[in-house]
Amino acid sequence: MIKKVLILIVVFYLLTLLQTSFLVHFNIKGIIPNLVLIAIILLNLFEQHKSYTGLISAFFGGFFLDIFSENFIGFYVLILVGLAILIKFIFRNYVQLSAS
Amino acid sequence: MGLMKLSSKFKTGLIIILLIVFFIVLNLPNFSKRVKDLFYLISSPIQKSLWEVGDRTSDFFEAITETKSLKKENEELKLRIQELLVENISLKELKKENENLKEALSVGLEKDFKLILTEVIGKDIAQDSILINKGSEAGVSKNLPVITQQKVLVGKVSEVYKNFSKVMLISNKESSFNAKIENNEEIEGVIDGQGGFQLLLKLILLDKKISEGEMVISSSLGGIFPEGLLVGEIKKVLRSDVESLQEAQIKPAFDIKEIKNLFIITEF
Repeated sequence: MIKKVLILIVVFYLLTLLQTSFLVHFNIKGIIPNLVLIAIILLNLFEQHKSYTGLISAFFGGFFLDIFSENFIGFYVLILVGLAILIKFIFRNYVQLSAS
Repeated sequence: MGLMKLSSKFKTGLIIILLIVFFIVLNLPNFSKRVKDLFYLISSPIQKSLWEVGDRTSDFFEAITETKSLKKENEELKLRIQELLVENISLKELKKENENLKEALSVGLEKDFKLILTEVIGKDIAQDSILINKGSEAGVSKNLPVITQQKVLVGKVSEVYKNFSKVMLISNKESSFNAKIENNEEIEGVIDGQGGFQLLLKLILLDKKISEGEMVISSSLGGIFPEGLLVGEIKKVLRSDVESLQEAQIKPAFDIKEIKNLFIITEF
């Protein structure tokens, strides 16, 4: 569990750096893709619905985004964790997978 | 059973309270600056190399996709160089004459700006603001103007950490300053940032004539920036019969894809 969390932290740290320093050169009319946001959405959509990996990664991804932006620390954490909870809530209550 | 339920509720409550306290502490004004500075310090080597690699890769792809237009541009530029060379020669003569006259009048040459050299290491995720690798230790303070090597205005320092600073680009939505047209300095306006590297020139009276391709430079009115820094080129004039003022879209003279080194003006 701890190992998994550490890997998640490193991955989201690198994603944030990639976004702030590398992708800036590939902007299309000033728009830069938000890698962390995309990763969080995909992770929450495709993981097992009982696992908490998506929530934890939303927390750390948001934290790193906050560090590298001018907002107060916690701005992106709130948005991303909220998003993860919303996706989980919808899946638990409204989506039935035939395999389970 | 009831006890178990209570304790699990208690646990969640405790975690939430701890998280809230954690974020409040992190956001204490001085502490948050120190935390951010620490993170920037750790990641600046990675960011710097990522920035350089991105710069080179985007150059490479641009070279592939734009060969045709580059050829045309090249020819135009060659012509322009020749024109400028001719102009340059006459200007040099004027300069010499000017210097001689100044010496004769014993007036000292105009003082140039005092500069600090910095490198860009990252851009803010949501806003038009960039991170540079010089901070309060190098003598950077808030609101100092930032320019490129070619004296193109980039923005002003908006936040200072110990070893790093944030620069608010002129295209940031909160940025606004006075500017004028290069060849016709009576025409004064205000440049507003639009986000996404876009600029808008505002508050120009209808009877003043502005046209596409004219250069816009900064004006010392308002005291934010020194006079005569290049801002951009007029891309499109927006005129409506209803309003008494006209606006224009400006293409910034700096390109975020090309920026690597910047200068902070400490005295002007």
